[in-house]
Amino acid sequence: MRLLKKFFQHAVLICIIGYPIYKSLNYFQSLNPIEKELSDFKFSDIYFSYIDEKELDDDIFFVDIGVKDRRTTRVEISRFITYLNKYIHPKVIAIDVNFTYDNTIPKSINEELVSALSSDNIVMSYNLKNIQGQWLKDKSEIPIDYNIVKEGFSNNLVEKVEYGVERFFKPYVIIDEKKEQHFSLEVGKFLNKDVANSLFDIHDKVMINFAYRYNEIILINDSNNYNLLKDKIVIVGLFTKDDNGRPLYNQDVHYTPSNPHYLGKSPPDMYGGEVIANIISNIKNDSFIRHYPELSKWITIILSILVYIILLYFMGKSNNIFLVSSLVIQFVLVAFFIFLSIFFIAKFNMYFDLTILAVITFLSVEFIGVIDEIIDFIKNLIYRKPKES
Amino acid sequence: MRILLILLLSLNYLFAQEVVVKQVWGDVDLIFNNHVLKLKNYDVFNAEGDVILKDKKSKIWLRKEASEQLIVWSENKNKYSITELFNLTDDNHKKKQNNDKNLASKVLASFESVDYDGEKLSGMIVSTYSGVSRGDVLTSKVIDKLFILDEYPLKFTWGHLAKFDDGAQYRILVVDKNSKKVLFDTTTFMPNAIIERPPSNAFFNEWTFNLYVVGTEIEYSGIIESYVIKHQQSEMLDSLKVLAIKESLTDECFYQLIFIDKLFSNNLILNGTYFLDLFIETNNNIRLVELKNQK
Repeated sequence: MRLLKKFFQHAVLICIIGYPIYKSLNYFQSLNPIEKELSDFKFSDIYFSYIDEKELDDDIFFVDIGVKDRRTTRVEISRFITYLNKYIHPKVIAIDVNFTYDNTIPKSINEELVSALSSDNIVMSYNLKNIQGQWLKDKSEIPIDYNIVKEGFSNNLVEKVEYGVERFFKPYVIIDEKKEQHFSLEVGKFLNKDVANSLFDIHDKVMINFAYRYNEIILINDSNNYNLLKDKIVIVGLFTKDDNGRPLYNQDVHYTPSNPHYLGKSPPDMYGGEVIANIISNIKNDSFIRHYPELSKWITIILSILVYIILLYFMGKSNNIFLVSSLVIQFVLVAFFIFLSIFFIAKFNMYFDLTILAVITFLSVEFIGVIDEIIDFIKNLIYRKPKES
Repeated sequence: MRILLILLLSLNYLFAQEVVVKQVWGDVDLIFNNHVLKLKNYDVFNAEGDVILKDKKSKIWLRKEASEQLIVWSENKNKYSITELFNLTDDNHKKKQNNDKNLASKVLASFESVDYDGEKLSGMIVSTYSGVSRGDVLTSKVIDKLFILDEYPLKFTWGHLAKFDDGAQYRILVVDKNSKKVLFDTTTFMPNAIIERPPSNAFFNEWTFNLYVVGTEIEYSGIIESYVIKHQQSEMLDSLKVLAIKESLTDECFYQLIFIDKLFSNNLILNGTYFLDLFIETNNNIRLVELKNQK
């Protein structure tokens, strides 16, 4: 009973002191080190960046358009699609390129492009844009017939704008009262996967499993390798890499959990098309990470309280016992929580986000003594006897 | 009739910028010089005339360069002048830019948290478009992260990146990543640029740099970061630097080689290049020239 009373006192003080600190740090984002470094970090990042051995998905190929002027880009894409659909017959060609209006491009080139794109195995990507509070489809500015060609938005979800890591995507959005699908889902339909009955219907956002690697990138005008694309999923986009296998250009690059430098500042590690490919592989293999935010929240709350009570218990015993137990809790327990998160991803494709729990455990050990002294100080102030006059 | 009208609209091509119709919902007309054109997706017209939204379902999404407008029918207003519409956007943009120039606004803006609630889906922010857009934004080649020593002069060279045309002009821009303050901005015909006194941030330096080949679309970009070394090592490097500079005025070449090697082996390429070229310029020692050729 005494222990619970003490816990209650600590909890009240943590709320009183912690809430304004949290709120002000949240407001002054640039001063908030947690916001800067840890707010967008998950233990799954450790798994994807270091531990995970990536599996080759042989059904997906990247075709690199490189960085060329708009005219050359359009001409090469037109020729590529026309040739492929005539002689090679890939399963689907996903175009991860947005063609904007350009009055310097001859009409004939745009017509040739539209004609090449007018095929039922083409899926176009578009940008999901919010203008004046409305979600709109920012599509290519050429007259494509969307009765023939499929389309899907290719944006994913991030926790924050700057350096936001793409771990989740949303399968559907409602635009103009119509259910619009993610680009990868539209491509996934060509795999004859019953996408509608999978996890998309029960989760409003889905965690991406970055567990795949892909074949060598094929250059768009490298016709010698076109025969590899027969009956495959072809993603056309920017994929040029440097000698170290990192994106060479700064366009369409994204931060993902596969980034080897998951903490601090690092360059984006994947092109957009690669993120899309991972989602398609997840659909193909039904290997999305099952994410349990509500359960993770309750585990965090319950275990945080439990850890704190255990710490209070040992603090009441003796200084030496408290020192040993706090060391054990701070290092062994925190390491265990990290291990547990990674273990569930590796073995069961399930993610319990215990990041906050590990942080709370670590900080509890650091601050429990200080909080206890503050409580003692307050008690002394309240209960000290007035001096006799 | 439609072709005639489009021709008429195109007469002002040289004088007015073009507006692209990104999407039309319902009935929307463009009135220009008393002619009426029913707008449809992907139409392009000069930034003049009036747009009329005909009924409740009418809505139009327009783009003029990077500026976009979504006009929705309302009982109070269903006729919009294109010029006013986009001038208003430009004015707002300028006003915002002027506000941004204000020091107080800049300071406050860096502290304020931005509210993205209206743009969130499932409690998360929608990421940037995952795809390639051959838009107005230049695409640059990313160079590996470069490291520098605080308060040490540095020299950028870029002749090794590609074969540039003779007489090409380059612009190099270095910006502090956090404060967005321009630290260095110069244009040169030489394939290198020197920062003699790099500004030092006692806590942490992280800069972005961009190299533009003027008049072309070639751009390189990267990050420069402070290299953190132990105090002892820093003192040793400082002492070596003093000895190497002193020695560079003689025929000897001992400390200079050690100092340069120490910088390069710690991946401090920019600092190393500066001192190597400085020493060669001072004494033209054959061993230093050989070392430069190896690099």
